[in-house]
Amino acid sequence: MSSSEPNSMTTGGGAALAVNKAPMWRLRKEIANYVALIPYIAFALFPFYIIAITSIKSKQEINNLGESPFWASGIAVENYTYLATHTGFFEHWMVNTLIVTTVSTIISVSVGTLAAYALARLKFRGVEFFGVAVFITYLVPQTLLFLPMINVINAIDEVIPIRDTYWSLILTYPTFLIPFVTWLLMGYFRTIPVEVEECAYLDGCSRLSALFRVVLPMAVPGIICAILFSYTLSWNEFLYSLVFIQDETAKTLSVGVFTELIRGDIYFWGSLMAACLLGTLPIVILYSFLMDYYTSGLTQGAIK
Amino acid sequence: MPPLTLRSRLRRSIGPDIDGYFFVLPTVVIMVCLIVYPFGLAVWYSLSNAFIGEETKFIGLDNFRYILFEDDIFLLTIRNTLLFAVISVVVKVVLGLLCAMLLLRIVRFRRFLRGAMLLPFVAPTALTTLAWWLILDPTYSHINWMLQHVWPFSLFDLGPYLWLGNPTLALSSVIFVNIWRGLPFFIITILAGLVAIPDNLYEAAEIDGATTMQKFWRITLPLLRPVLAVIILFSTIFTLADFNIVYVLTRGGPMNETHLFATYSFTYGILNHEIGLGAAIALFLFPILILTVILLLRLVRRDSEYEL
Amino acid sequence: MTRKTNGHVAEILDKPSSRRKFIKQSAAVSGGMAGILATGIAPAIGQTHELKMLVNSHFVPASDEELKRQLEEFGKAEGIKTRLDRVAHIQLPAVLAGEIQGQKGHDIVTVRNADPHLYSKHLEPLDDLYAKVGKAGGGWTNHDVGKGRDGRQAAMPWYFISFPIAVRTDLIAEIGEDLPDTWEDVLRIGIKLKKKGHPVGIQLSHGADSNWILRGLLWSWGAKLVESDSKTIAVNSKETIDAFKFIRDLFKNAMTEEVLAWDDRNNNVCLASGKCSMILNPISAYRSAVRDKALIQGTDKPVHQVINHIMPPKGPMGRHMGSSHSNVGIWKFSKNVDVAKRFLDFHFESKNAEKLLQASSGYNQPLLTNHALHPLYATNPKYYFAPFIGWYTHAIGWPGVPTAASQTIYDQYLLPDAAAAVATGKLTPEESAKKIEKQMKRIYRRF
Repeated sequence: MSSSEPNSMTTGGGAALAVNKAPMWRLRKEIANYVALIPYIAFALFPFYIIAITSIKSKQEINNLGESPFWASGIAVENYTYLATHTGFFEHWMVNTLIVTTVSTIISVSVGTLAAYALARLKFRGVEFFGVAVFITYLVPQTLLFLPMINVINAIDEVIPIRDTYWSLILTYPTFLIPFVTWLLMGYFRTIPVEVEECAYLDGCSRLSALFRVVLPMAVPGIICAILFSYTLSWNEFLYSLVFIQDETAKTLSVGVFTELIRGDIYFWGSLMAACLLGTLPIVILYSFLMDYYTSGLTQGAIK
Repeated sequence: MPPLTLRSRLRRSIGPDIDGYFFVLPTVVIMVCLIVYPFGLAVWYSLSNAFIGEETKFIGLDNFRYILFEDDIFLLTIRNTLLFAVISVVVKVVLGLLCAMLLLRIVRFRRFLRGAMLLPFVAPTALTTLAWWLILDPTYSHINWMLQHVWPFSLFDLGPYLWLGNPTLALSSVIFVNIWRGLPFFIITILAGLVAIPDNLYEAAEIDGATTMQKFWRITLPLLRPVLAVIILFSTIFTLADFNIVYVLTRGGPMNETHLFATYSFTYGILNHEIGLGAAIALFLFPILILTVILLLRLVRRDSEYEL
Repeated sequence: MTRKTNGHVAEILDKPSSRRKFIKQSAAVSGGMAGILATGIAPAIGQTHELKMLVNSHFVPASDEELKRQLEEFGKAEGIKTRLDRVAHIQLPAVLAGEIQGQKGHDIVTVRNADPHLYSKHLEPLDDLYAKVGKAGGGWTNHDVGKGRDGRQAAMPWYFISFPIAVRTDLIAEIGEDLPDTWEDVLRIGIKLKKKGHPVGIQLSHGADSNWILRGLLWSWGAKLVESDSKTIAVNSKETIDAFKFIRDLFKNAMTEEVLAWDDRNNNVCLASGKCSMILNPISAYRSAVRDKALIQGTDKPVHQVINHIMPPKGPMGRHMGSSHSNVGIWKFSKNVDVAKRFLDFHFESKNAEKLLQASSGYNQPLLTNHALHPLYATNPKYYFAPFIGWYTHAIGWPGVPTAASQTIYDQYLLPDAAAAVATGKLTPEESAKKIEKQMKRIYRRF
């Protein structure tokens, strides 16, 4: 499998076009590209700047609203240390959330990939019904679905105590992750030409090994999307975590932060914003690992 | 005539790909065990006089009759939700496509730029919405401060705007935050789709003299179609069921101008325990959405692949 | 595994070979059980008793700590494990709904305002404890709170969070006025101070504070949402229209538009940052100003020094204010009802109740006469109002009792919306009163 290089020319799409044009034109086009991106970047990052600044403001500064809200004089580390000393942020919540998210993602992406392949390629009785049925649960919003879900979790709890542990979440998160992964990957699998698979069959591959050896490598960007978004949806999930777990030590990140840092009408803004930044970190780290594979290098190689 | 073995008879009644059943088996098991019951119960609630903790009785479509004809806030909720969803999704699709195409061509700082675009989606939703609450605060909004003190805006004396208190501005703010948070979803998924389109297609088109617009409409869009269809569907569902943004920023106000299905359903169902009404509100668009899903699935599966 | 006191079993367990046989047999019978044990998760059946309590995170972390300490002290004496769980107050309804739905969860729960009425079918009646504690505490100050639909006591009244008016004494002194006693005073002073950039701050929005303050205001004009039978709608009256007219005047001349979008925390911020001159709020605004060492904008003077709390203003028909009442109840489906009752008995003993009051730093206002005049309230002049504000404070649904229907009115923010419509001129006071009457009738018909 070809490895990816950051400066590869095969970025797909337009880069290949520029090969024959004058270098000056190419440079101008490149700069124009970056300039066009500036509004998007500013739009995306502006609130994070405010989050970062607020997280290093002292309590007094946060309340001193005559001054510029865009600058902090000095760094109030106590906002961050409060998280470590007065809340179970690092020792409990972060760990719980990491476990739940990772396991749920692994389950959902594996199971979803198989189902997506069936939906995308295979013809058998009931495949359309299956596709619709898998999706239908999405049409019931969580704010309604969580109530009957509690009955299910309680029933399981009679045999294996999963209430107040992260297992209750590991069981329920796939219910909304799998439909998502399935449909998302179905879309990506459809963009892969059938001919490539047929070549593999001619070479004597079984369906399953064709899936693993040929289709999946070509669908890697799609699978990365699925992993990334599964991770994100699990990480940010709030309602199930709230109603299934109340034990302080078993809570996940968002719920725990809300419980500790919002008390009546008093908001601990500095620590809340610090928690937001720290809570983003794991996914950003995951993303930077995955991004190396997010190029078309593999796709190109397979076709040629 | 081929011999009528069991295998060939199966194949004829089930279809050529029997092994498909094994592919979907794990999913079916999980979904049936965990979700069929809750889903059925949720639909049942909407057709009953369910009240949390009390016995329920079937009452047919009475809940729907009540919310449509007696409740005066629900009609406003329909308007709010449809406006919210349509504007949000359309903007996200257009901007998502544009931005993904820009991100496709860049070479330097690629990881940083793509990562930066992803941040709004991956940061903890509950907490970023709180941050937006600060930014749009009625008394000390960061944006108002910027408009008054930062050049070049300060030249125009743009009065303090009540981002969350003026009905039009409130709905716009809520839509804006939804776009901010949902755009990365489109950008990254479209980018993944764009990346899979091989260069030689574009090269071939160029040799045939195609313009940029023609390349976009004839090559890019059709090949993106399956992916685009799926993510537009998802985004619409997510947006229609959006709860967090309104709940944190306006709680449905001012004067119910930002109440969405999800928040109003929550008020009736969880706060007041009238689960029947809550379910009816939440599932209001259910029939339309099922139809959309069925049609879309047919569309995606039937999509003809391109020839090499 | 619970050890059986069966002699036969004990005999078997003493001999090695039969021990092994016994274990093998039990394992064969309870194969599933062994499998569960092997994974390290204890089976639900064999667990020791645990008393679990659910509360909403208090303004002051120390209050939660004290409650936890009391729970643990009680648990140690009884020989059971205890656990205190907390959720944010805005999330409490969802968690409670989940527990009722599943008939499983905590043993002791916080049920606020009309929750005892809403959930009365699932709450254990506590009439005996209610009578006992009331007698020991010199009598309950509010007899409507905590009752279930059947008239029995579904939960023990715990505390209420009062709404005094917090004023900037320096600003009022600067214009040569006295501290406001009536709503008319508030209007007059507010007009003068708004011109100097210090408006009044009362929410007319979808928020809890707005619900409480506006109820108090209406009551002060002699208006009411329902009659004392808790069923007859009484909102469309001349008194309500007068009250709405006053709100319109107050909004136009003494407040700014921002109050239409305020949540519970915004009025705190407005006061603590020095902008607002008067707000109605629990002592949280003052306490945050102290803790954050907030300064008056543009100076280096701490703002908390010039904030004071006084009785909520008086209207033409007296002094009234609303407030959130918290009760504590026991789920009927709990497996530890008796233990829970004993804990409540323990907790409501004078010395323990007072310790919690002390830990709450003045937020929790008691509902027992003997606790009202607590030394805590004498420690700071800003808290002098506290022992007496209870005389003017009423729970939701007054002059009736807290009911499920009144909770619906509250959750749909009907009163704040009605007031906001009048204030912004969208509706006339008469139209608005008629509209809210229609809305309330529609809702009350369902109950």
